[in-house]
Amino acid sequence: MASSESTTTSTTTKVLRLKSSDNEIFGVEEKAALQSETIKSLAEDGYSEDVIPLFNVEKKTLAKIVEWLNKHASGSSKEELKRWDADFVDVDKDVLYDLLLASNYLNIEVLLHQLAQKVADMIKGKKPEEIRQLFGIKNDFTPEEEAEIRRENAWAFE
Amino acid sequence: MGNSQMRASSRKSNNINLQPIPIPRDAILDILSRLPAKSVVRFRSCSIIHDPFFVNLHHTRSLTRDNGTALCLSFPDLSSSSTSLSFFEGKQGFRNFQLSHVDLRYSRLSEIINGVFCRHDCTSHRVDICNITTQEVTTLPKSTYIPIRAGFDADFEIVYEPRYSFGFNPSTLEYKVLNICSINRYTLQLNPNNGLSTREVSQRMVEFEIFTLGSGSRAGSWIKIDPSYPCVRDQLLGLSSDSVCVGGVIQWRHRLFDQEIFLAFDLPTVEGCLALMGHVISGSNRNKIDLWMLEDRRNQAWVKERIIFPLHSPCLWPVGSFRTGMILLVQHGYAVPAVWAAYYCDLQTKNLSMIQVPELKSVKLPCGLVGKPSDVILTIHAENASAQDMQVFGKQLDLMKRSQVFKHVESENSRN
Repeated sequence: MASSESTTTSTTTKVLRLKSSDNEIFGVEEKAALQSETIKSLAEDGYSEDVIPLFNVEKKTLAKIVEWLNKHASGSSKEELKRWDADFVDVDKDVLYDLLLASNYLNIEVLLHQLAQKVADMIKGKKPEEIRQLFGIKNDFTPEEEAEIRRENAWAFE
Repeated sequence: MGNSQMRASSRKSNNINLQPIPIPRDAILDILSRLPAKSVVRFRSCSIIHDPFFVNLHHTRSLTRDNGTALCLSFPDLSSSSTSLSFFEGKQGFRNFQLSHVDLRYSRLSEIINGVFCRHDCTSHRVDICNITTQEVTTLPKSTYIPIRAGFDADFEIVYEPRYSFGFNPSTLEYKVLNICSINRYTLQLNPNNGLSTREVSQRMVEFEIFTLGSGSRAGSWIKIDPSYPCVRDQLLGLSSDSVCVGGVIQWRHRLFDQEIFLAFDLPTVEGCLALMGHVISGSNRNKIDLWMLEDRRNQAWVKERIIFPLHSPCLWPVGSFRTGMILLVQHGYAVPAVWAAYYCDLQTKNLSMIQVPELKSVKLPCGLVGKPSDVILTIHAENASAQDMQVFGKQLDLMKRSQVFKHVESENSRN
C-alpha cells in the first residue's frame, strides 16, 4: 500500500519474481511475498526489479510456500484460513521437513509457528530414540549417562 | 503430484541409512517449546533444552497451551507432617506432590513464580529453590547474616531475623532471593541481686542482601545492597507478610501502626528501590478495595484502581496477580475461625469468582488474622522445564537429589 506512493509507475499489484534453487521462476504479488522477512530484505536491497534468487528452496517446496503466501494475502476469513492451514500442514513427514527448512530460511514467522506446532503434535508421546531419528539428533551420551538421566527424571519416562 | 513423489522417493528409498540435513536450532527450540514438560524432560539428554531462552519460551507457551497451566494449591498435610502440592488441571483431574521433610511449623514457602518457589527453614536457615515441574531442589549458600552466637561470657546478644522474598526479573530472566534481615542487638546486664541477666535493645538495624540465581557475573553469591527507601528503615522491622512478585517487582503488605502499606522492591534496577504503595483498607466500606498498581516502572507511575464488590460479599484482600488483569483475592478472617476461601477477579469485567477446590474447605483461618493462612499457597502454576544444573545455577551450589524432597503421591490414575 505504502509503496504505491513512492513511484507513480509501480502499481499496487507489483509482482516479485522468485527463483528456486533449481531455476524455476515464480511470480508472486509483492504484498504476498513480503510476508517473508528474507524476501523483504532482499527486495529492499534492490533485487525487486530483478529475479530474487532463493538458493535454499527447491521448486516443489517453493510452489507450496507461494501457495501459502497467496492464501494468507487473500483476505480470507479467520475460520477459513484456520481450516485451510490445517490441511496445508497435513502432509508427509518429508514435505513437512522441507517446508520447515524453507520457512525458516525465508523467515515467514506465522508459517514457521504453524509448522512447529504440527511437528510438536507429532512428537508428543514419542520415545527419545524415535525423536532423535526424526530430527537427526546424534545421541552423544554413553549408555551409563543416559541411564542416569532416565533414573533422575523417571517421572517423565513413565 | 508426480514431482513430489519423485523427490520423496529419492530420499525415502532406504530411510534408515540416510542422514537428513539438520533442522536449524531455532526451529527445534520452537518445536520443543510447544511440548508438555513431560515430553521436554525426555530431551534432557539433548543439551539444547538447557538454554535459559528456551526455558522461558517454553514457560510462556505453557501459559496458553491446553493443560499447560493448573491451579496449584499447597497446604499442610497434618497426617504426615509434610506439605502437599495439589494441581488441578481441569479435565485431567488433579495430581499431588508431597514435599516431605518440610514441616511447615518451621519453614516458610514463598510465592510460586513460574513454577519455582523458595523455601526457608527457620531453624537451620537453609534456603532452597524448588522447581515443581522437574522436582529439582537447589540449596543456596548461607546468607551473610546467619545467626552468630555471641561468646559465652559476652555482654551482648545479637538476634537475626532474616526474611527471604523470592522474585523473578523478566527482563534478564533471572530469579532472585531478597533477604531483608532485621538485626536486634541487645546489651545484657547481670543483676547482682538475683544472678539473672536482663537484656535491653541497644541497636536495631535492617540490612538488605540479594542473591541472583543464574550464570551471570553477579550470580551465585549474596550481595549486600543499600536500597533507597522513602521512610525510616525501622519501619521494616518485623516485616511479616508474604511477598508477591509481579513483573520484576517484589511486593509485601506491611502493617504500620494504624495503616496498612504496600511495599515494593524493584528488581530490574541495579540497587533496587523500595517504594510506598499507599494504604488500602477502607474502614466500614468493606466491599471496596483501592488497588495501587505500578503501571510504568521507570517513571514510578502508580495507577489507582477501585474495585467494588457486590454488597454482602466477604471481606476480601488481594494477595497477588496472575496473568494479565487477574487478581487473586482471599477472605479476611475476622470473627470466628472462618472457613477460608479464595476468589479471583478479572480487572476488566470486575467479575468476582470463587475458586472451587474441595481441599480449601479444610483450611481454617485463625481468629483475627487477616489474609490467608501463611502455610497455604494458592497460585496459578504453569510448567517450567528449567534444569537447575551447574550451567544454570553456578558451580558452587549443592544440587540435592530431588527424590529426597519430592515424593509422588499415588493418586495419578486420572492421568495418562
